[in-house]
Amino acid sequence: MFLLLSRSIIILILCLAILYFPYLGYYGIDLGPSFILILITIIGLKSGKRSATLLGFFIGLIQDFMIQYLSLGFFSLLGTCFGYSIGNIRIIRDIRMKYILIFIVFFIYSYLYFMITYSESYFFYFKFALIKTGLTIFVFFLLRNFFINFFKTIEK
Amino acid sequence: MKKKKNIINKDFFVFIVCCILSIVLFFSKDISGIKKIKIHTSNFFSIIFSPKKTAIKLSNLDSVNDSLMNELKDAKEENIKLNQKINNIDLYNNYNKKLDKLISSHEFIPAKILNHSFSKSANILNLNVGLRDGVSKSYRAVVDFEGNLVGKTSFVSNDFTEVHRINDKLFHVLVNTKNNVFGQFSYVSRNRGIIESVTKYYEKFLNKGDIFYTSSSSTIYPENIKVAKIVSIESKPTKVHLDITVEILTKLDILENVFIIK
Repeated sequence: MFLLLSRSIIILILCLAILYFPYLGYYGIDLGPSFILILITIIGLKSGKRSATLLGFFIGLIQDFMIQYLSLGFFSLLGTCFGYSIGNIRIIRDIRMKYILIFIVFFIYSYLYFMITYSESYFFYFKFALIKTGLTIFVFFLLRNFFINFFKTIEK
Repeated sequence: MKKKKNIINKDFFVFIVCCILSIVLFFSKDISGIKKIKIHTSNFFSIIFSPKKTAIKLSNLDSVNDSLMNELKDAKEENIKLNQKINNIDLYNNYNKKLDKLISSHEFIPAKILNHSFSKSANILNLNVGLRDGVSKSYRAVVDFEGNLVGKTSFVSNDFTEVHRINDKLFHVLVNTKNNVFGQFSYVSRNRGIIESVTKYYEKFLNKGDIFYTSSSSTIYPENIKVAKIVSIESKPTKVHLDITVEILTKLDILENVFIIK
């Protein structure tokens, strides 16, 4: 019961953050934490590959419909791959290794996100992807500290 | 063991189906049905995002106010100068010809932006006008209040119009300066873009601050719409063309109303 309540609160917080978290920009580039990735990660670790893949696909689809024109479909493909990867990470037993892999997947997602959105150098993508990933991981661990019992169950 | 294998296969099957759907979506982006769904999804989310939009608007008010004060100052100075000129020139001499030069012959359809504030890097925006308001189905240029290029219409339904914004890396437009230096504008990041295909020969005709306008060779954009101004010009020995960095003139973040050129 307590875990169910925790899960509902976390999902509610993340949904509100996705919709209303203020814009953290650096010269017009959104560097705010990606709450979408955190949501998919939590669902993926809790419910498995299929849920994470479907959630990634549908969130990506909404993103595509709302912000894409010529690259329609890229975000849904990216979301699908991200969800599936997180679902695969769930199987790993070693918690440290699990979080290292989550960090890498977050970074790859952010890197590809910047690559789709902007036409800059590889260093530019690397730099901003690293900052965005760092912030996202920070928020993820902040949530983990607040709801430690719930996170311990999904880390098993 | 067999059951476990089935579960793995189902997960993989879902993954493959989602990937295929994404690829299908990419190839069906020009289908009218998909475009209609896009517009409706965007409008639905514009309602959900309205509190965030209001907050952003309020945070922008300060900077808008400052820029308006500066504009007012400039306008006052300009007004004094113009008044002095008016006193000196013969107003009735070739009056019609002067007006023709000042006022563009294009007709405009004013439109309000239905913004969703989901992402600042969105490549599209929706307008509250459509076929019923006289918007043409074919691609048309969209400009802001100061006549700077915002983008082009990409899909028009009865009540709404989708606009492909200038800040998409796949958005390209042919441009030229007043000195007839031609090139192609492409978006890079933030409010910056580059002008491609300008050879080193034209370096002497270009200066920092020069404005690039749409050229007459386009069927979508009428000529002389302001696109971007030069921020830097670099001539690298290893390249045939100049590296011209430009700043987009329209302020996409604070746009609320635009005009579609008929």
